Amino acid sequence: MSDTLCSLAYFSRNAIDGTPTELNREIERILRSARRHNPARNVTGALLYSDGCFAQVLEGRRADVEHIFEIIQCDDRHADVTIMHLHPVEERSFPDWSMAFAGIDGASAAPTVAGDGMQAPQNILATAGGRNLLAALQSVIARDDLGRLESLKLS
Amino acid sequence: MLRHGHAPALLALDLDRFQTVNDSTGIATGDAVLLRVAKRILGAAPPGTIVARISGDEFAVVVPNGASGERVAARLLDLLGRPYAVNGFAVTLSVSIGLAVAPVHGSDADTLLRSANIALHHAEREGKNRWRRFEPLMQERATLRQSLESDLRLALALNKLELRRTMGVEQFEVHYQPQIALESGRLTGFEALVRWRHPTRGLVPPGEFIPLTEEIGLIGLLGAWVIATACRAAMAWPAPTDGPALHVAVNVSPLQLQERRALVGCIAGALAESGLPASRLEIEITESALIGDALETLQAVKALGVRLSLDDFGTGYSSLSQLAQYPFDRLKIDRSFVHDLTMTVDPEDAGTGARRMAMARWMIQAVASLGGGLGLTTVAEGVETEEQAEIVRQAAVTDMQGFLVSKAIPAEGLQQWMADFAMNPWRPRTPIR
Repeated sequence: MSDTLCSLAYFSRNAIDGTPTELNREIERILRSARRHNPARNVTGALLYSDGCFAQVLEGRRADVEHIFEIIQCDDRHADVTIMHLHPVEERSFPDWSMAFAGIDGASAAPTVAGDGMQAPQNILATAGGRNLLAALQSVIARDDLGRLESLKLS
Repeated sequence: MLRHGHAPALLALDLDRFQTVNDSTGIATGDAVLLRVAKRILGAAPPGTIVARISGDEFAVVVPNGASGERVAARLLDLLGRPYAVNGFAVTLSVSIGLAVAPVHGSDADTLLRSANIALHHAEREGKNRWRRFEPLMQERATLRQSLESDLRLALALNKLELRRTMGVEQFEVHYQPQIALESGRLTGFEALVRWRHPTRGLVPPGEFIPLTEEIGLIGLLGAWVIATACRAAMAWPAPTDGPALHVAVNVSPLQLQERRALVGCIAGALAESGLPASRLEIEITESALIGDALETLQAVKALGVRLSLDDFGTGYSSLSQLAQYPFDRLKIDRSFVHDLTMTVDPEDAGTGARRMAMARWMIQAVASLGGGLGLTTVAEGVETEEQAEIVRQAAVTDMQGFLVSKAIPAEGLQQWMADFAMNPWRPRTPIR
């Protein structure tokens, strides 16, 4: 059972204080660390960042996904973590990525990261399921942005 | 514990509603979650921290430097509240934490753990998912709660054995506040109000011991005793020469209302035992009790033949359309509105004062007219002056109670009060319309 191929997606809020440059540097660190640790457990996935929010997909053996998630979870660089799904899958959506990164609107990553996978979501090489998932995550983030704008208008 | 030379802090942790995790995901997953919890605690603990699992879902954390206790508590609250992905389940839980710091909250392990646990219980009672630092006042409340619990159990046990008078330990008393018809000035009945005369503390205000009684799960027993006592007392009241027999109104807690069978059983039992006609008993509930299946319970109570009255009306959130569905006979207008009718207006803020007075007047008129429309009587609570009585009477409120006529009277003083009132009754200021 713990061998089952599994997909986990979560959504969280950025808790990094700092300038855009510092934020980019932190995201770069997050990706480096993911790309260093994930291959050992054969975990693949994608990370989206857009103005204040993260969404991430992790896929692999269930035990491995849960192990990696627990580490990510306790990271202070984000808060208000919400699990969107955790379920078995037939195949990986991002088989070629230890951690694909899509900075949506204006979150430009450092060149080293950009050259190493900084992509617009539609350019990430993924299965059709992966593209749907990214689109879904993107819409969650977009909705959240919308919510934030609404609350700004109200205040 | 103190051998390191500085004062440690002790955190008592209890996972909120952990049983539901076990119930919904199975014990194996529950155990795996506990393992994650333990690892998160260890991960967040400063060097030198001791972490112990005290029981199923309780942990104790000893932080060597007491000054960092609050920081660690806040950190654990955040960390343990983050989701868990375990065995294919996405689990979310929260934790309540009590914090005690040596030596002020205890200079040995036992005392410190007790203080931390008292703070933990406060965190849980305030709604869980939070941390609380121990305060000496909490200890007092815990002691009061303890003494209330044993005293209450004793009082109720002795009450059952009918031994309380001979043993001189009757601590609970029922006092009775008169209710007066505003048009005739006639005495219509009394509201029964429970009082706790503690042997060393004296009279404990109901606002203090009723919530405690609810918390420790004894409100049903106390409530049943009050109903039985009030029914017996009402049987002994003389019948008025000029009107219907006097009624007695008894408050029922929202928690009692949730135990339909017990409540209906104790009301029926009190009526049967005392011989009081059901129509002379009035059951008062507050707006906040109108949740869940309250309607069915009220209908079952009503079917016994007793009257129902809605207490503190205007302070809750019941809608007018909702109100019409409930089988009430009476609305009690909250004392705050009566108070505002003739409030002293701060000259600095005359606008606000005038608005509150006008608002109170409109509220009272609205409730009186609503009551009239639905065929209910209305009672203004907390009437203290002739002026207030006159305003509520003009607004077509039917009855009143308050210090203007009398405060609540101990049972043994009632006969005398009734005799005095008959000699010197309250009469409305202007002629009856």
